[in-house]
Amino acid sequence: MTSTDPVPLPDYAGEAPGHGVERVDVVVVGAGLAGLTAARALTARGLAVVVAEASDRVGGRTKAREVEGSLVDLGGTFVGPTQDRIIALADELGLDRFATFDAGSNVISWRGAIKHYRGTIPPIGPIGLADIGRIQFEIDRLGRGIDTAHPERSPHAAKWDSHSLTSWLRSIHALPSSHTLMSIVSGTTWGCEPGEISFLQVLRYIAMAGGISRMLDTAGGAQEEHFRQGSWQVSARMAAELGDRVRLATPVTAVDWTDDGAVVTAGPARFRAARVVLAVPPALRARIAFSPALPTPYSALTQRWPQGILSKAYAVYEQPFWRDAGLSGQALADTGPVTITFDASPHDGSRGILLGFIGGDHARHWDALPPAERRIQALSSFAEVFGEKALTPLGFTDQLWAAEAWTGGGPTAAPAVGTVVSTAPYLREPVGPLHWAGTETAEAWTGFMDGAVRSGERAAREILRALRPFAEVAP
Amino acid sequence: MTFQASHTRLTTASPESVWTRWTTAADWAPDDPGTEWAVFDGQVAAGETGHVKSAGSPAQRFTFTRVEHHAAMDLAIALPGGRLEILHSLAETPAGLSVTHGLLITGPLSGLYAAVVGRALARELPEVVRLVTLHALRA
Repeated sequence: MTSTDPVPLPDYAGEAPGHGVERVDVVVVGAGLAGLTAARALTARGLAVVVAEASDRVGGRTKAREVEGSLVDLGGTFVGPTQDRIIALADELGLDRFATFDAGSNVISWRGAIKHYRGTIPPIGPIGLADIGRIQFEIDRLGRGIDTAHPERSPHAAKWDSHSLTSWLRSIHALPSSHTLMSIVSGTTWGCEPGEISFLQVLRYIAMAGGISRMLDTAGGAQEEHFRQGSWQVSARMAAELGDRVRLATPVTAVDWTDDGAVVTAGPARFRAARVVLAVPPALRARIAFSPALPTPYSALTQRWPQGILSKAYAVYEQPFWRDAGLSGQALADTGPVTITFDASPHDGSRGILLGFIGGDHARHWDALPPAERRIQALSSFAEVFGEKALTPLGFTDQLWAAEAWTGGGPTAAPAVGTVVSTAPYLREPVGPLHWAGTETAEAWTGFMDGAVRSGERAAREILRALRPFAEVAP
Repeated sequence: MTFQASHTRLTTASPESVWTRWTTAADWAPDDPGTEWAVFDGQVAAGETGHVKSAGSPAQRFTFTRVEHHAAMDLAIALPGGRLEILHSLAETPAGLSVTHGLLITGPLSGLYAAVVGRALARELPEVVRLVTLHALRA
């Protein structure tokens, strides 16, 4: 038997063959970047795979919409240096990247005043700058000591896990300005307030990104480029390759498993498989009835890694008018609802597109507003930093990730204080035939598209090693 | 020497509903997390007075200094060596109703008052405007 031969199916425990049960090698639950990456890798090695997606679309936390003829990324958008796996995958799939526009001055709305600045250091006063500088230094320093794959094994893991980002900032006597800046970072990075997330997770997450600068910067950072065709195309093209292996509107409700395999129930459909990849956010694992029940720590994980709350607003203009004023389109605001903006115009500048992030409490408030009020408040935020022209776009759209039934929030999970040490060991450790994927399970760039792809690749490797112990599997 | 700050938000709420929030003493506390209670001694009109209690400070007497129906409502609190003015204005624009809350501290000790209370009040302005417009929308 060669490594590309299909794996003979064992007689799995449970229901006998037939009775409408479809037999495959692997069921992948979730057709986001992680699930599709795993399915693609397994299919390429000759395994019979079905991808069961609850939603009526693929892409998970990537999504696209056309506004006045322009494509906007409603979910994951940017890529940057060291995000090698999403970039390699997108290259394979024929997608092009272009640099995020960042020429000119950035804008900050800070303590009631509007200021322009160059580079990444906002003009918040020398004392405020010194304070946020020491905080960045300290977070990066502490992060270098974190075992990102096993944070529970890190020095002082329990201590850092007993802190939220807020309580840690208080413990080092951070200035109010630093609390405000870190609140903006927290809202847009994890979709939560700094008081909601474990400081151990903060350190781990930032360390996985290569430090605060790499995580937050445009040039040289995670916002350096985006895809000309939109990031959702990565998933769409993988799904197209997989064809009818991808089953939309097929929510998995139950997984009956033994050490030898599983029967996966998705509405009227049932699949019998040797292995299952669960490529859904940790909190959404709770929607699946596992029989036998998952070991206790895995159940705890589903309760203790809630999704953040992040929304996005896009305004499409005839031209990127802010560029004429020498502005980059990047802004920070301490007022909200939009706290960070980017120029998301197409590569040729044929339209002007502003992207605004609304996270944490701002998103909780903003999401609850009627659509017309959301629109006017987002445009008001844009106008605050870019002028009155921002009030009259050609088109507008927004995306409320917390309202997505099969995502449950975004951009990633925000585990609470005291939960990471006890639950992180179970993020990706397989249980019998069950393997875990999704950006939260990644060992690099967790929370990003790159982390999702890495997790799918890792889940595929685990399965290939299990089902084809003699085949060569990339490390 | 003066200290001033303001925050403006556009909303789809009606001028009537925002105006009602401003001119109803019982609405001040729900709209401003820093306010415990407020009472008006008479009508909402220039020259009339009232009292407002902020968290952590004694009740203050204030005087309405400008009241323009559906347009502006300002009030002033006399401080030793200074004066704190709380400013509210409304304007209908093509993009929506513009709601502005501001504060102005004047007088010889304005620098001191700015440091003691002004900056903290200024930081709260966006949240107060958010709550006023939110509650106005629900009216």
